[in-house]
Amino acid sequence: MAQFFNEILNWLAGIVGLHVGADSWLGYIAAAGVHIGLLIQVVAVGALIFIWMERKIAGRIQDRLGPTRVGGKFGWLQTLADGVKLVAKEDVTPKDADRLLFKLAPYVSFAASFTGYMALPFAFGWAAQEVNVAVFFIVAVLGLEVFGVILAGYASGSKWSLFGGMREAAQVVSYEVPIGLCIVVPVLIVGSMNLVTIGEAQAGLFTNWLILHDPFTFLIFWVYFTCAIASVNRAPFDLAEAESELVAGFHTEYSGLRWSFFFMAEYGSMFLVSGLAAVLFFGGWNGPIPIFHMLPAVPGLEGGPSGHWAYEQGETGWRILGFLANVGGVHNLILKSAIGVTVMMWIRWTLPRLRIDQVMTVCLKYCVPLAAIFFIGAVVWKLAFPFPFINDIAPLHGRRLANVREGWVLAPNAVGEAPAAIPAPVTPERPPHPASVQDEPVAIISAGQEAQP
Amino acid sequence: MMLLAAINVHSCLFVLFALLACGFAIAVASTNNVVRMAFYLTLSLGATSGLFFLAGSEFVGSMQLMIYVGGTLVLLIFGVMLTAQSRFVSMQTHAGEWVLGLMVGASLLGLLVVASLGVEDWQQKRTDSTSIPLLDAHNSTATGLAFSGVRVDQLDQQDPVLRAGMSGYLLPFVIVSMHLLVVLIGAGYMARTKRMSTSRLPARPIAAPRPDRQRNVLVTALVGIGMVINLVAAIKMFSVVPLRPLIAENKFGPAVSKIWHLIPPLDTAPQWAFVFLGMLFLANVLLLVVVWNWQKWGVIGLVVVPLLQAWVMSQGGFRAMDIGGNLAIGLLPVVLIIALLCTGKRPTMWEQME
Repeated sequence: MAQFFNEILNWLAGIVGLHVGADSWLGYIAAAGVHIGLLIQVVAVGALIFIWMERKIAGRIQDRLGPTRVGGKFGWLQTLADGVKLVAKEDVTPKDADRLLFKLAPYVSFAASFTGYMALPFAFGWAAQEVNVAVFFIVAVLGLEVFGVILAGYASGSKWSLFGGMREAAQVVSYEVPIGLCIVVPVLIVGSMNLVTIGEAQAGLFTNWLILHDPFTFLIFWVYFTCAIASVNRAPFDLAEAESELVAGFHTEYSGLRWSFFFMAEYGSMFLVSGLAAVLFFGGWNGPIPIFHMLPAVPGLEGGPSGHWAYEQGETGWRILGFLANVGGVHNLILKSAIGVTVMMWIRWTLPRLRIDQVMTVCLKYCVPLAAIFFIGAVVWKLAFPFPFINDIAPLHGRRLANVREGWVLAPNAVGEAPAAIPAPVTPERPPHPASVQDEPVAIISAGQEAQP
Repeated sequence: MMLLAAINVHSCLFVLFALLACGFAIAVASTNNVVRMAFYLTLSLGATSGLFFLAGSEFVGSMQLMIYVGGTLVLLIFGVMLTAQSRFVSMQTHAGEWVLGLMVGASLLGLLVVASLGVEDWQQKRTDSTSIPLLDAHNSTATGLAFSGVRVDQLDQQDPVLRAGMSGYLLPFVIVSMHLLVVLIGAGYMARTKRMSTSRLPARPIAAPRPDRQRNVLVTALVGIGMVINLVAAIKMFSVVPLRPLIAENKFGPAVSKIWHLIPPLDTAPQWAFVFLGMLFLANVLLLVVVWNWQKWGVIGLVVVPLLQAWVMSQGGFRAMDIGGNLAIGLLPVVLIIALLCTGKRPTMWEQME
């Protein structure tokens, strides 16, 4: 993308008689700016919509209408009105606060929540930075959000805030253990920590999604989702801001725009863990039915007479139809994540808040042992049971045939005929096994590794 | 614009991250408030992980974020918040501490400078700067496999003597993880509230066997299974020496000899090693009986025996993988037994033991 910007800049500079090299820093900065702009838009606009959604859902669950007036129908501009109100509020710092940390804490929280998006792919190859160990990176960054909350709790100089911060620290540090155990299972099945690889390994019919890979992945998803709710500090695990006990917990002393940064961070994290769940368990950007894999096979839809609008085999440049297919993939992922966020809201307005000892019990006595048992179960299933599960019986196994790619690619590959120009990363030799020999997605991915937006 | 186009983005980012890391490190040393120190340390370590990302080692960078920034520092602040007597803890540094700290820091810096300037490869400038960032980006798989006992990066090692020493890091890994597990359980045991041991209660009579001591079902099961397994292992070890020549002549058919050859050192290791191992397994059976009879020293013995076995095996020329595996299999149930003894309804079994 940087080269693309440099070409444009070179063309513009050529008018005034200057020259910009293909590797100039200007292009890199422009490309980084575009990525950051798009991602901030996801977090900020996402928060705008989700807050409105939360009000509506809360209203419906409590048998009322929610906002109805601002912006005409459905009160869809309610959040904007809230935003204007928040900007207009006075930015107060308490007398006893540690001023520097108090002012910085919301930004730390927001930055941590936002950084995770850098590694989250929104479609095939559409990640701001395709990290080789993206799963690990996102988990590491998710753990940083607690830092902002702890700083806010400590620096406020208020006992309510301090208690909220301490609860949050204990909770998040505990819940990192089961969440890590849950995330390892898809990584283990696919054999890669690269989210693009994991998502692409689930291409094909919805039966290929890893949640239907075997009974244990189905069960472990629910453990993951529980722990994810707890790790982003949502009800029924929102002990850090328990308003019935702690006024407002860690953000008691905050007001105005700083306060709203905490909320943007919370909604950003909710969307991030839901997006991670979508990629790990629900096929990521692959739809339930691989439309963009089937369409190019229809006569007349190949993508122009010479095929210049669609991808050739193994091609990764820019093609209009392939671009449209990727846009469809982005919609798939955002829809799946939004469903995850909606379920979190549904849970929030349905279940009462737990006590702190109950939160710890849920983590240490239920989630950790369950995750460990399901983890061992998934391993044993993969190694020792040749029984077919749903995805082995259904047609269009992406992992078996390695020929489904939802990118408007012309003439699908024959079995196992992946392009070998780019060497695949080092993989261990596995013992041949009826259920696991086909589970090797590395070959399909190597074709598209250079695909960057 | 031509001048600006000549700037290397990579070097610019390196300088930026390096300056951030160093600047915040100085800020850590110059502030008095502990929490602010921790905050600056976060930024410094975060910038260091940025350097790792810049070098293409995404795994190490993520690890840095996870362990240092996400784990250690959060625990540090958590500890400060839990233990602080006044609101904002500040530290007064004395002149002597400054001198001592500067000496330690300067000597470490000197060592690092000498060491890094001493590497031949780093003294010349790389010719193709474009290929550097991806050099070691894909080696996390190899690292992970090395921890489970397979060095995929050394598969083409020709010398068989060197190959034997390259069986991965399983043994140190198991030792370290066992150590951590024991420390964690010990910390949990020591940190919990001890309502029984307040001075208001009269001291319990020592060494008076009480008929109502209750055994945990799980402990009973573990001890029983442990006795059976150790007995079988002891018999197997004692039978290795007489059976070895018979199997070498293939008297029991191919299936038995195939299973036999799964563990190569059974053919080569000296006889005394098997005798010792068999005796140690028998000792384990006896120790389990001792534990069963409410004696605390049996538990200590159960920890010592696998360590002795590991020593005997290492002297007998076993592979590091077998030693590590044996150590893990031997220690894990013991840790489980200890955990079970120390938990449960009060008085716990551990408290009732002598």
